Amino acid sequence: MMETRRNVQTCLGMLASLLCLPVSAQVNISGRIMWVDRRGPADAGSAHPARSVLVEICDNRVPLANQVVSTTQTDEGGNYAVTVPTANGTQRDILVRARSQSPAATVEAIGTTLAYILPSAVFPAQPWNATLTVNIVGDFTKTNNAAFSVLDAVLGARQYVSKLSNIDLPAIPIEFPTSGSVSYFQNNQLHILLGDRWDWDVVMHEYGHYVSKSFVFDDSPGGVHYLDENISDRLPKDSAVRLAWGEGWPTFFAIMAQREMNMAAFGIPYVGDATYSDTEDASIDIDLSSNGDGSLGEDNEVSIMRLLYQSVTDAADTRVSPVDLWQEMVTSRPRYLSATYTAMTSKLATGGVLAIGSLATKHRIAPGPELPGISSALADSPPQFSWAANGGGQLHHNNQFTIRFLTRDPNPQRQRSE
Amino acid sequence: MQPGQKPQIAGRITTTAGQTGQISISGRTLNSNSDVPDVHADVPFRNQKGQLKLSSPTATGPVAISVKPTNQTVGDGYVVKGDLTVSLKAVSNVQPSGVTVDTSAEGVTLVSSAPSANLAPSATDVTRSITFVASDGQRGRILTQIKGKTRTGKDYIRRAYLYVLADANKLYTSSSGFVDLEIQKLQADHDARRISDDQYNAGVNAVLSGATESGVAKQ
Repeated sequence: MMETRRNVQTCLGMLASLLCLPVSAQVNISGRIMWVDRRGPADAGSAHPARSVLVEICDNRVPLANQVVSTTQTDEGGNYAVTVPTANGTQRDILVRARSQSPAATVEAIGTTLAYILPSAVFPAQPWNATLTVNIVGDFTKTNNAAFSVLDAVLGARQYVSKLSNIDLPAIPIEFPTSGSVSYFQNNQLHILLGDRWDWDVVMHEYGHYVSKSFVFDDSPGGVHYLDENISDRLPKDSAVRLAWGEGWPTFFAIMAQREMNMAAFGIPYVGDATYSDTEDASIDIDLSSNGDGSLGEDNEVSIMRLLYQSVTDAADTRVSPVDLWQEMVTSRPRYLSATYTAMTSKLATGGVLAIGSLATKHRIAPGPELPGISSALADSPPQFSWAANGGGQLHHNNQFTIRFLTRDPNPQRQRSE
Repeated sequence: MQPGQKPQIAGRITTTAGQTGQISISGRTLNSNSDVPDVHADVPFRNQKGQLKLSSPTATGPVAISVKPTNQTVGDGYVVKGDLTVSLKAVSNVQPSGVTVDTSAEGVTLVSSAPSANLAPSATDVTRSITFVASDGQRGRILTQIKGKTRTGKDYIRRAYLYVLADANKLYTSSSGFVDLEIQKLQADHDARRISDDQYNAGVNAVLSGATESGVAKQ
């Protein structure tokens, strides 16, 4: 009889012990996830935090499909910390995996819908009360590390949209590396070349297409386009100006996002300056603050990106603020530059209108006055006016002009069409 | 090099069955005060049923040249011929004069590269007819590099790769990258039941983690 009682007591004791387990048994894991830019680890500034990425805590003793025991997300510094409940007296083989997935996007391997992984080493036989620091640094020569460069660029672009609009755009899938001949946006998906892995200007330009579609900022026919062409030389005028606007604005967006979010502070090569750079698979640099070399009119995307950029960054008091420009675009839903231009200048005083008009002339969008000179007083005799038509490439120069006579008062005193 | 001395120069050539060609060897004195003329020799070769046959060299200059095959390896693999088109990126006006197109290979052997006879030249595309050889198990890439100047006189470079993975069952190619090749192979092996579900999942996990890549620092 005594033996039996003792056995029963023992069993109850074991049961109580099991029920108490979750309260005190846990593994604490923290660390930092970093990706490495094109310069490689020899450069002290080449490692950058993988911001807002999914972190999976895994038990490597378990079959692959069921390995994940907890998840969390890194902060802006790439840091994470997580507590994993663990059965008392047991052990785990801890593996940490950072995924190329954030609230902004999932960078997926081509042919799959799976995010890339930055894996840690395996920490075998960790006891139930272990405290681990697990840092992960990517290998800059490998595609999985590059996926985090692409992801971080898109996160920055999304944050800029949020700053302008108070709207967080839904996460977008990114095929990487695409097999296309260029990076592109199509059907709510980005497709990024391996050769654009470090080119935040290119990646954020493509994300700009997603922004543009989301906020109905364009009506572009899409298709092939080149920086050094006036598209009206190749396509009908209406298609040309819509395509040029559809491509010029995303580049402006990319460069402005880096400027306004102070991404130059990240110390990533080519990020945060005023130049659109496409490196590795090409050698392209377009300075948006340039005086107009290579600007070819409204039907040229370079002219558009430069006019927009200089309109919001020129030091003059008359400049347009990025927020004002955004709000005007939200209201006007432009299909080409002229519509945006009208919206941009509608609320400006004369000085602002003239300043932006001067930029439009510099980039061969608006006519360029030649006679009389800017400082010349009009003669008593009927004055002579002349100007360069500009715009339109070889076939479609500007062909309708209005001469306005202004005083310092913002309202036109007299106007005449020719 | 002293009179009577016979230094050996080792070289490697990969050929395909029936291929003929010529190996060129050049020598030049490094002593600028010497009047020793340059040396040049051409060695005709042919691949006869998998064996490299070398003919007598035709040499000029004061140095005699002899050649012989030392070691031959015959393996299974792929000989691939086709047109490779590379589109200019973002620019449409690279000035035709002075444009150079170079094709080279890493990891596989490029046998020949020439302007395509099938496709007319275009202002925005460059097409090369290439032949390359990849032995089973090899992986590599073929680079096409275009150099020129834009209309405004700026230097322009375009680089594009064709990635290659020679598997015993199939030759995989991609313009995306090595990750694409590995995933293509895993999917093909899985579809053909050469690997199990678990092996497929583990393989994909390894690809996503970078475990199968040797890494590419430069594009």
